[in-house]
Amino acid sequence: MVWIILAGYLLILIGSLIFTVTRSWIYALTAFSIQTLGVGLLALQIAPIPVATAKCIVGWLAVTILAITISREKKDFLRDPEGLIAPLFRMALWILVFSSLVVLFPGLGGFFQNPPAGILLPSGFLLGIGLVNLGISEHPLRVSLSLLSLLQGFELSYLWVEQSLLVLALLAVMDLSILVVLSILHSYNIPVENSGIAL
Amino acid sequence: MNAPAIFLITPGLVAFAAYGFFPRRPRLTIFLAVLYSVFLGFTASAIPLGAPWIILGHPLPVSNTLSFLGRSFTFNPEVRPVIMFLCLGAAALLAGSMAVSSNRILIPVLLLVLSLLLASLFIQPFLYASFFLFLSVVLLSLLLSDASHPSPRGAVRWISYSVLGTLFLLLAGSGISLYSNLPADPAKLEPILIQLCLGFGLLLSFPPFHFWLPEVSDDSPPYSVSLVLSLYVGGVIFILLRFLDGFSWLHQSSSVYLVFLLAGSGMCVVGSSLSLVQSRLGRCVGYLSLSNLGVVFLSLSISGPIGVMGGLVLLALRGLSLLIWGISFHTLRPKQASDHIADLRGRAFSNPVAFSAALLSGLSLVGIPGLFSFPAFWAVLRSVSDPGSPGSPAVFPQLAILFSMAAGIISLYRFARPMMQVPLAISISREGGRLFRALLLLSILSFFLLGIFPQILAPWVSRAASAFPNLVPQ
Repeated sequence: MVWIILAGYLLILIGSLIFTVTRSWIYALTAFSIQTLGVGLLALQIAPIPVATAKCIVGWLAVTILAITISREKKDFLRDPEGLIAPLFRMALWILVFSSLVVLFPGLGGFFQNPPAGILLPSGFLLGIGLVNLGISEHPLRVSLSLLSLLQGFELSYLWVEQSLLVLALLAVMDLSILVVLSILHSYNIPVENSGIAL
Repeated sequence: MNAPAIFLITPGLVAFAAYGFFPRRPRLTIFLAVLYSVFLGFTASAIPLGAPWIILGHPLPVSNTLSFLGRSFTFNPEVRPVIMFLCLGAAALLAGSMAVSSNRILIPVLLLVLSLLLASLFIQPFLYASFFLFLSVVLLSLLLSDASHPSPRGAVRWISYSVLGTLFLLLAGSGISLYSNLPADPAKLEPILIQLCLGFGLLLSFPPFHFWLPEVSDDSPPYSVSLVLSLYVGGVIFILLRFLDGFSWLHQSSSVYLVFLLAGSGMCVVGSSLSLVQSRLGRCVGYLSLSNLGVVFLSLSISGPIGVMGGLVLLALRGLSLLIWGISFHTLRPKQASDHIADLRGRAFSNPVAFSAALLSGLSLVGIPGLFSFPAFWAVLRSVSDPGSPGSPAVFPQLAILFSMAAGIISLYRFARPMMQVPLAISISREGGRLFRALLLLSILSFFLLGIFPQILAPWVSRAASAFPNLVPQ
């Protein structure tokens, strides 16, 4: 179990770092998939395997929907060029969130009915990194991924409080509905010549 | 027959049918959807619970609980007036769409949102109502962008704020269930109260969480904005009242009423101050609606039945004002046209009926004497008092209401003046069809009629307060 938890931590850290730093969609989506796998592994500490698997499937489904949406834009899928300063700044933000969490960690438990530290730490980290990403981009699709990061953090701790089937289903519906709606809203904003389909 | 299923499942089926039928017969589809909403409202009042329902001489057993995925949806008799309130409100909004709609998804979205709001009334424990509220945000945000309003910025912000608000409510809910009665240590309640304040603050655009409001008012079709500001805000207020009603420690705590007082005064001052400096009419009315919401909160800060009843009456009148605003503003600002103050010159001449209706709805939001919101505004102005010492008037909230009225008049005058100036070339066009003009003229009449005779509407609306038996003892 310890190895699974460590692997989960590592995947979340790597995934969130790449997702925060990169502006390339293909790397961002891959990073989010890795992060989702990490969340699923960490959820095993307090939830049965089917619940953890469901969390992973929802995350990967979200990535698939986003990949389909982005691929329909006739835009360079791989590159969204920018200088060196911006990625460094975002990496600094990632480090700031991580270090803040380490400092604030002891006081966070009360918010979620005191879950085990193995859940609380990654949960707080995902909440923080989700908020940071929400603040640094207004692009609807990036906002949707940031919101999903935030919700993954929340859901991880909320599993400790509530595991009823309806609540799990509603959280999954919430995740996917955000993504679908933001994809639809984004599609109105794409210039016609860039759009691969009639929406 | 299962009572909750009628209200939760059939709207989905009707929405599906409406989506398919709309392109062929749009007006008939809207008409049938209105009839269906009215039917749902009257079914809520007529359906017997715990006894068979006699339909055409045949007894039909009625169950009041629907179990789904381990949780139950229960139709309690006390929520009947609220269901009627929501269904009739939705019927009015659906009827209004006849004047403006060419959007195929408007009717299905409205029906699904109605179903979600009703689900939030039925779900047990009601803490999970916030999920349904969020799903209604997601659905309504689909209406905020279309081909003529492509910028999704407002909707994106609204969804982001709503996610955060929902998370705070769920967190507070997980803590509340542990202390359904007032614990000995009040320190345990403080974090829950803060989470509730943050959650509802984010959902209701309480400053400084109001940044989605101007963006939504700016970037979206006017009628969709009025749906969001009336139906959605109404749904959040109902859930807020259910929280208050469900937990004795909440409605017995004077600090909750103090929070309402401060929030209401803050919304009045911030909303009306910001409306004064706007150069776009949509944004201006968005801020005036924020100020109006502040008065609703000031009414809720009055402890006892009067506060809740007043709040619900204000909520209904706000919905009516915004509905008429949405329709008339849709005419005043054609698709993709600017609503900047400089571009509105002469609009009163080209669209006199729509201009009058828009002006009166704006003035009604502000609570001007003679119009239908004024009696409720006046009641709040007279009754609002210091929660620490009931009976003694609270001066700051009263000044905030007066300031919001004065600022509202000035800001509306700023826009009305150029609109009433004679344009260089007068182009008087027919304002929509005969039905549309009749609807607007009827609404203009209702502004005055309900202002002079508030007793026509107020008692019916205030009956919805009986859904909160702990706040409004029978």
